[in-house]
Amino acid sequence: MLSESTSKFKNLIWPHEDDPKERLLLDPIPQEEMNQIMLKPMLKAGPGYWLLVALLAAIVLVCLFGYWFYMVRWGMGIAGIRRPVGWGVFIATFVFWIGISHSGTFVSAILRVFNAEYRRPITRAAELMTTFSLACGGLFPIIHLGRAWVVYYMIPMPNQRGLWDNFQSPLAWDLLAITTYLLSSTIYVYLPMIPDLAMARDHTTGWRHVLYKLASLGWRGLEYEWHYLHKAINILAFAIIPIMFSVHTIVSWDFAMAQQIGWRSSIFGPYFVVGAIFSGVSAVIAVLLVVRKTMNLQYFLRTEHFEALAKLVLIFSFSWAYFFFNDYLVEWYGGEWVGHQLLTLQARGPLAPFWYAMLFFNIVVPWLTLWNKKVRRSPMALFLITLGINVGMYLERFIIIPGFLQRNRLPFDWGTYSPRLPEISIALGTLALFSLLYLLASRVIPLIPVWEVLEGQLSHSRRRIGKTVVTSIAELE
Amino acid sequence: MPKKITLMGLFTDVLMTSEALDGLRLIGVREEDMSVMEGVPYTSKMLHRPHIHERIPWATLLGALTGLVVAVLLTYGTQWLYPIRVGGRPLTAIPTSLIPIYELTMLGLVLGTFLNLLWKCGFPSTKPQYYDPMINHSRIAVMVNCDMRYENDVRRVLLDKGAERVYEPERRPL
Repeated sequence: MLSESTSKFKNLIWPHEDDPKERLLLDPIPQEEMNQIMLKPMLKAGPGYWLLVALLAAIVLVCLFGYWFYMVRWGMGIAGIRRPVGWGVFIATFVFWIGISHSGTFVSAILRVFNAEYRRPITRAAELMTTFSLACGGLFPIIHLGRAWVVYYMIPMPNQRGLWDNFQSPLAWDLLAITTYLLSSTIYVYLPMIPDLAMARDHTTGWRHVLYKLASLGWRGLEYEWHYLHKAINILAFAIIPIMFSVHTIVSWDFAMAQQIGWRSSIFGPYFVVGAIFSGVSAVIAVLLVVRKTMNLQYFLRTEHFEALAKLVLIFSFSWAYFFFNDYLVEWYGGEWVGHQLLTLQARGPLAPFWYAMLFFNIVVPWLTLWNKKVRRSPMALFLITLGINVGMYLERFIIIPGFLQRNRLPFDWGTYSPRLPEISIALGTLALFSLLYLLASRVIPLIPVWEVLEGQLSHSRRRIGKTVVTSIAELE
Repeated sequence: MPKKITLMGLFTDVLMTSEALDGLRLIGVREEDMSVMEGVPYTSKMLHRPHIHERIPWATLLGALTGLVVAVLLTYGTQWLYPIRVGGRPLTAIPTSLIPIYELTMLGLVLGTFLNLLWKCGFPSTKPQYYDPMINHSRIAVMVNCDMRYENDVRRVLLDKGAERVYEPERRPL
């Protein structure tokens, strides 16, 4: 009997105590030390930084603006868009950037509303991604106009030709939605930044002091200032979530409202939103890993944060796969001949490499890797997986937009699409623009909300229950 | 009219700060004559201060209403003033109008909230103010505005309750 009971305990693992110092909110340091960790990389930039800025600026000038002005001069014909593919890389990239913009709102607003404490050090870096990706995406409707100088036609104002916006068009909804989202997310990133700008104001001199002094609006940290700030942030957090959902739903309606086969699907709204959050959160992980390494923010950005975000990525990979399969199955089951042509185009036609690559990066890789804690805690693995997800999500937009336009109900009107150098160059130029804006912002804007981290550390403590010590989180309000 | 003086005490702990505030109340300092400056948002409960109560954020609602009115004028008003009849489609349709109405209402709500914050806090403030940058060094500043006759009592209370330093601040440009 004794040997039998002993054998039952042979393979048991005794739980070990986690080191509380691994967790940011249980590892407080003096406020001034935190401020210095935050300010040091902002105030000092090495030659490598400036070299990268110069390189990115050159790419933006040549690839984005250079080719854009070249296209304005010689016409949209130098791009690859032809009948029947009227929307190509430009619109796919536009949708991609709008998708990335969901990163900040999800990480900041939704996690704030659900009191997910791990959001505290990552909110601002994610929100800045929203602002800059919207700025990049917002260029494309103007680029795609060709004659960009007539963009003012979109503004509802009296004119001699009696032209007015058609508010029943999804394109007009797009203009309103993206403008609303850009303004809202800019205000939402700015408000919580005010106390940190005031801290930077008190620690800097010269042009930085003047800049932070103006931007901090005279903040002194009085009780009523904190009260109204908290109230405003809470209202905005709740308000910006439906705005976020509406933006990518409206972008999806650019396609779903059309009669184009493969586009006319009532699932497009939620499908696009889930895909946007999926690519957005993945982009947050990739960007934050770079930020942590280059700005020495290891104190603030810890393995626990990336592990939590990686779990979210896995959940959204499941959700995206669900919506993808939903859309695919309905088309496959419907039996419409042209619908099957589209599915054949993807599975066996010229779109096949992109389609299989999309499924590989968006489903196979996350499902095979992100369930594993070691992978979720490995920076290099996470970086590669999330980059792959963003490639996969770009391919998804490429397949849906120019891919599906290659087939329609009139076989004589079928075509193929090959992006040309101006399109590829402009798309890459916006990637360089996003990186450049983020690089410049990282040296001017405090990327970590130190006051929010301090607030979190205030609420976290350790207490004993039975034989173990557990983390306890107080409700401060 | 008795002359007023402003004193500032610096504390390192929120408990000492709240006890100092209680002590100031005991000697007759009014709530509106006491202010607390902090680098970390300690709540009014922690500091034992009255909660700033605001039942309805009126500016937020006003902003949303403004956005709604602008959206209705744009979607319905412009189409009626300058109608372009397209065969078979209504001039103004409720389902399609709801989308710009929703977006502009939310934009108004966000702008209203932002402007409300600026208004309530008196931002932007460019004139010199009483301030101590030590609040960025884990300090909590208690600012008291009182008659000069009670200066010694206020200093005594602040120091007895653990103030690191009590001094008469000057208005400084931020």
